[in-house]
Amino acid sequence: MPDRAHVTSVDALESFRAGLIVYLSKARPALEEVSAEVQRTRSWLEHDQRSHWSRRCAAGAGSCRRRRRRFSARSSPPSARRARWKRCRPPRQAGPRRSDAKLRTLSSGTGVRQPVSPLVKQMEKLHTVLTNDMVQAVAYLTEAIRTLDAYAGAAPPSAGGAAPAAAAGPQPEGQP
Amino acid sequence: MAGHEGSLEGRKCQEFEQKYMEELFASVDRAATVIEQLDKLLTKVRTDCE
Repeated sequence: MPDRAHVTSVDALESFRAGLIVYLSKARPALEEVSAEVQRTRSWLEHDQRSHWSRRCAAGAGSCRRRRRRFSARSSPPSARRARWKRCRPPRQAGPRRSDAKLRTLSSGTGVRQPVSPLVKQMEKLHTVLTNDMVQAVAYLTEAIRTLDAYAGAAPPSAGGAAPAAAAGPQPEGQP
Repeated sequence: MAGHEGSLEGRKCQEFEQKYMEELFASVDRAATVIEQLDKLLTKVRTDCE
């Protein structure tokens, strides 16, 4: 067994470490963009769409009341009024009913919060791996490279005949 | 790293892989599935609540 190890993989380690850093610099923002998209959708639902459908509901209810007043105020016999009301009611009430349903979905939170939250939690696990574990991995590689570089650059022990460590380059001329 | 399994280099490599890389690969696979599900879900939510 030789007295000294031949350190030949420092370049490969350095290259792997550099690749890992590039990967992390791209993976983290990509993951954060997904979280931001979820946040934007939540905000759109809870603010923009809720107020939009609330306004539509209110407008729909107002229009129904106006129609009822208009029909009941007419002088035609009640049976004729009922017939006319039935004829025009279904399509005109579809709007308010749809608005009510949308608003109920938005208010209940079942639309997006419940199914999305567990998925977001799972995604956060990867974020933790990237921000904690992989930072430790890069630190581990940095330390390993430093140690190997120091070992390769150190003078060989006094034992005669031992070959000096061939770090990353050719051995100096004149060495056995 | 083929051919180094029993060496110090091979052991360190294996240790690093078990400690860091396996968890990374598993987490990336899970996250890819989750992101696909999220994409479908958000598209449905936008369509339903538009």
